[in-house]
Amino acid sequence: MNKKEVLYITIGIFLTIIAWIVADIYYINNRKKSKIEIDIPKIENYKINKEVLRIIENKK
Amino acid sequence: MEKNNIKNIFKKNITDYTYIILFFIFFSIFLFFGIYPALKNVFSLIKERKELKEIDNLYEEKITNIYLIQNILEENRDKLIFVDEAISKTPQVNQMVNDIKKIADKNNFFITKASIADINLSKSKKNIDNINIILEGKAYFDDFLKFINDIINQRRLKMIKNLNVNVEKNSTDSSKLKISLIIEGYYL
Repeated sequence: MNKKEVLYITIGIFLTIIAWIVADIYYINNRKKSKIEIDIPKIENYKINKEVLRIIENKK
Repeated sequence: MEKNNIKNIFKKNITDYTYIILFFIFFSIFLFFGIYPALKNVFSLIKERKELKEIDNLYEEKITNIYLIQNILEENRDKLIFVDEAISKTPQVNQMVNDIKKIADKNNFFITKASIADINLSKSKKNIDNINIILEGKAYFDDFLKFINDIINQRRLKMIKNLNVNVEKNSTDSSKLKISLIIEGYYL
């Protein structure tokens, strides 16, 4: 194996590592879920119609 | 002399790759063990920061909602008890029957038959459940109108789902009407 072949192999390894790093960073940026999982409480928007309250209040 | 010159010419044409090979090897090792973990950490942290910001915004929105609901409840605290009375949390059939009996007696509506249709006691997924009370009785028209008005004016919500009014055969003008009705009440 002459030095030129060794050079090609090292360039290949170098480029593979660069590609690996780029792919991993791309994966990190595009993964959907991270380790953070929090149960978000469900709170609905309630509305109170004051007119209805007034009508109910006037009933016996 | 001439021979040496010829040797030198050939020597210059052969490139030495040793340094560049060593550079690639050491730089690859440095990239893989030095830069790669740091870069990975940096991008992971940026991503986490972005997600946490989103969660933070969501929580802020929820907290604002809670605050608004709390304000509404504070404003109407005294009146909310009426909502409980209008639509109770349990069927409270006895209360409903008592309400009806009270106004029936008051308005001379003579109940001959009363029955309660199926009540669903299991927890249903519906927002609101209903109870049906089937009544049969006799009353004068004016009294019956008053009875209906009193039902409407009661705080416990009720709806007259079905109403049949018949006149008995061979009846006189002043005779009582034969009435059958289904009253629907609600609970949560």
